[in-house]
Amino acid sequence: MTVISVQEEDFDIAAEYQSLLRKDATGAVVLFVGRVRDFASNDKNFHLQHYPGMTEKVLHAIALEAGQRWPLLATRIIHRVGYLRVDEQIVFVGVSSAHRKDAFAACEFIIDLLKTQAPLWKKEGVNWVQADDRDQIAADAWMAK
Amino acid sequence: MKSDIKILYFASLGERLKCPEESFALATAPLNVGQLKHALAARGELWRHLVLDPSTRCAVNQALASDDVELVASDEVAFFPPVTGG
Repeated sequence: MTVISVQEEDFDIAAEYQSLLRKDATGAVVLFVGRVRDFASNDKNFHLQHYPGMTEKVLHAIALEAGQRWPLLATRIIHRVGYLRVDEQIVFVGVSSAHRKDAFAACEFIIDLLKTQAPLWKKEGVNWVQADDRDQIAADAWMAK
Repeated sequence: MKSDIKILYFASLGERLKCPEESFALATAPLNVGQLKHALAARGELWRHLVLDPSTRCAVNQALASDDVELVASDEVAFFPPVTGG
């Protein structure tokens, strides 16, 4: 089961962990949380813009592919948008499966693809964040597998 | 208008072009994405620079689209820079 949310509100990691559990079947849960780091600017406004509709479609497609590559029990992706502050949570990826290797791999796959495919853009102060080539290299490595 | 498409510009593109969204008349149908880019590029140096930048992505109806994708009335086209979420 996959649940995707794109929202302004914060999320509760403990509640999300519980939502990933499947009675008698869950052997492993891997959670990833991305946060707002401090950035070198006097203007500490941090904004996340996205393409409503397409963001959700892309996240669903990534989760679907993860489910085809690894035997997963549940997948949860939350991405926050709008105005955030340093030290706030931005993104949550949680996967559950019978075995840890599948859960680790699927979680990393989802966040690596999200970073290069989901139409979201960060703005730190007045500066739009530039894409990092290392993110594309990580995503390309998955697609070559 | 029935023969119009909607064009969205996200992040740095929308800001620099001072145009987050517009309605564009499909006067010379059929038109593909590559031809649309050249029509927009003809608006001036800034448009040419941003729309024809090889790193600029284009989506048609919320799916990434290459230059040969044909546009029809009511399509939603979006231009945006490389994504930086996560």
